Amino acid sequence: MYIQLLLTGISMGMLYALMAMGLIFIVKAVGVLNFAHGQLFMLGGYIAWMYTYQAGLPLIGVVICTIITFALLGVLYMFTVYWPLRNSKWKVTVTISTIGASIALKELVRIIWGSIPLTLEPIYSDILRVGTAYLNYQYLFIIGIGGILIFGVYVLFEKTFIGKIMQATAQDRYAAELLGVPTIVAISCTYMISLCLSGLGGWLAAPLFLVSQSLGSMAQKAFAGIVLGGFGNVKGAIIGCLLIGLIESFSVIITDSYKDAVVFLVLIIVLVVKPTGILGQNIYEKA
Amino acid sequence: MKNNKIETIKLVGYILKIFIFIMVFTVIPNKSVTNNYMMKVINEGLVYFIAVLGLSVILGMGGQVTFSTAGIMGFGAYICAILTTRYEIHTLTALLIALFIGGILSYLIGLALFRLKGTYFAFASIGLTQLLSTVMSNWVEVTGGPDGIGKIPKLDIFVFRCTNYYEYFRVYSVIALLCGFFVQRIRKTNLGRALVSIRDDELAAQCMGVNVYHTKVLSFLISGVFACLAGGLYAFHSGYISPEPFSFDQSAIYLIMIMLGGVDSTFGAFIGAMLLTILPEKMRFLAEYYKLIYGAGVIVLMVVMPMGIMGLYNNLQHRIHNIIKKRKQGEVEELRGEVADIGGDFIRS
Repeated sequence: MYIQLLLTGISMGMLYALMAMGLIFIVKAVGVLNFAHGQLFMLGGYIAWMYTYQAGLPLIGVVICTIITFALLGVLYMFTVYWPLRNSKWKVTVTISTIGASIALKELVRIIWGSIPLTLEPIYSDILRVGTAYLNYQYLFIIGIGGILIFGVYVLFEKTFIGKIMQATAQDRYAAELLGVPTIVAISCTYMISLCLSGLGGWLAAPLFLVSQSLGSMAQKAFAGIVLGGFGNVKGAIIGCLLIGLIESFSVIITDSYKDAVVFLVLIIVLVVKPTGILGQNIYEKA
Repeated sequence: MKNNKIETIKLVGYILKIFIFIMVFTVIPNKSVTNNYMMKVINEGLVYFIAVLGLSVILGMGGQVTFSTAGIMGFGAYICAILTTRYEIHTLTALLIALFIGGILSYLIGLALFRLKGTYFAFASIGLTQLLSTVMSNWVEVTGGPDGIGKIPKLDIFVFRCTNYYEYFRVYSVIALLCGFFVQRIRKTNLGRALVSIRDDELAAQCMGVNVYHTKVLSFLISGVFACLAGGLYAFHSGYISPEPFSFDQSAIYLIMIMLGGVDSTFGAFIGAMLLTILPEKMRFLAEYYKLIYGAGVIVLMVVMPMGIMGLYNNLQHRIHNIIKKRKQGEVEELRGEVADIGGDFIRS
């Protein structure tokens, strides 16, 4: 039973981590909280469902098409929700416009696909037996694919040229512009990667939770993971999210209905004891 | 002479405002003007206005984005409901107790959460709302779980016993007006100015000797008390509460309300709250597309008028003033020109 809880916890943590990474990239690049991230995650599930059943593509095709769709959507999203507001004095306006986007996305999905939950077949539909525990193979796939994606994004950011451009833009946009970095490209790329991560996360999560509008509420756990892990660093956010996943799955031992409350209670206790989060140093927000 | 003129204009303005308020106060709560359902909607708008006022202190003056409004509002509502239904305490006493406990709670939460800054404070306030709403929907013995609490008695402030929505409107509009004056007053105190300085530049505020942390906590306390008041009034007004109207989504709606009305002004908060409560009722013909248009509208709103309706209004006013000023200057220039022609160059220097 403990192995089962451990594995489900880690895989849930992976899903949160995929979202949290995207969120952190956007926060670092443009200093904006993206409240539509949960809805984009949900959209990932729906898009994957569309490619599997409505277009009838094989698995590989679904993955590639989902990535391409979300990359395009990332650019579109950037130009509608962030770009017109980039010069506004108040960062709050961009935050509010992402809330607007989240409402619009939710309703768009409801109008197109209806409000009845849809089922998506898991990648390999069988159940693994570990001792006395039963585990859906999908959880293992989530851990595997999530790990690969996180590693891939790490390589992309640290080792490639475009990654350095994105980092430069995130650190100091003005200086980057002076050095001739095309910041518009860099920000677009950041949005593309961020949305692809959440879209693929939605595709991975869909077989476990049904494709429905309530998938969007998972983003709040990703928020919690970011705060728990520490300030604005990606490593901290991933560790925080994995912890949130584990806390959530192990809290079943104590209580069933208070699963969410336990998560947020731990979060607030950690904040009171160590306000910089687990991995946080004393980095203050950029002025 | 000029001062006298301005004084008179101001006085006329005040009289006009009082007159409009009395008109609204007497005309709207009539069966022939607004039907029962519409009255209920307007009352809810007033309640939301009080909650949004709290936001206008913490966000409009202090610049801190918080998603805790709905959660704390729910806290106040549940305390009022539990005290009046289980322990049969008088409604006004219950409301005051709720305000007191809510104030203490939000002070303590503020102490904890404001150790975080900016965006991360917003993250943590989401956690708080989630925590509160999970407790509300799961602690069945106390909160009634998803079924909520029913049969909450009607509000009773000694002389004013509210029995129908029309009487509620009279009481609530006075309360809302007092709250509005209170916030308007805060703007001109030390606290208000300190908050504005924090919003504009935290580091500079600190250099000027503003205790940033404490000021933020104080603003959170004020907004928490407002939210509790709104929650209590909401509970007495509807007579039934469930966890649903105190969820995270509702907090986002409060934020949209204040951004729509104008983050910088008290009257803007009123316009925003009223518009977003009444508009859905008037837009019924859009049916399922309403929310889609609403969401897209929020984005467009932020692009077109980031400071909300009152911001737009102030902007227009400013421009008109400028035009008038220019015209007057033009006249002065003409006069000067004539004088210069007659009297030589010394006036210009």
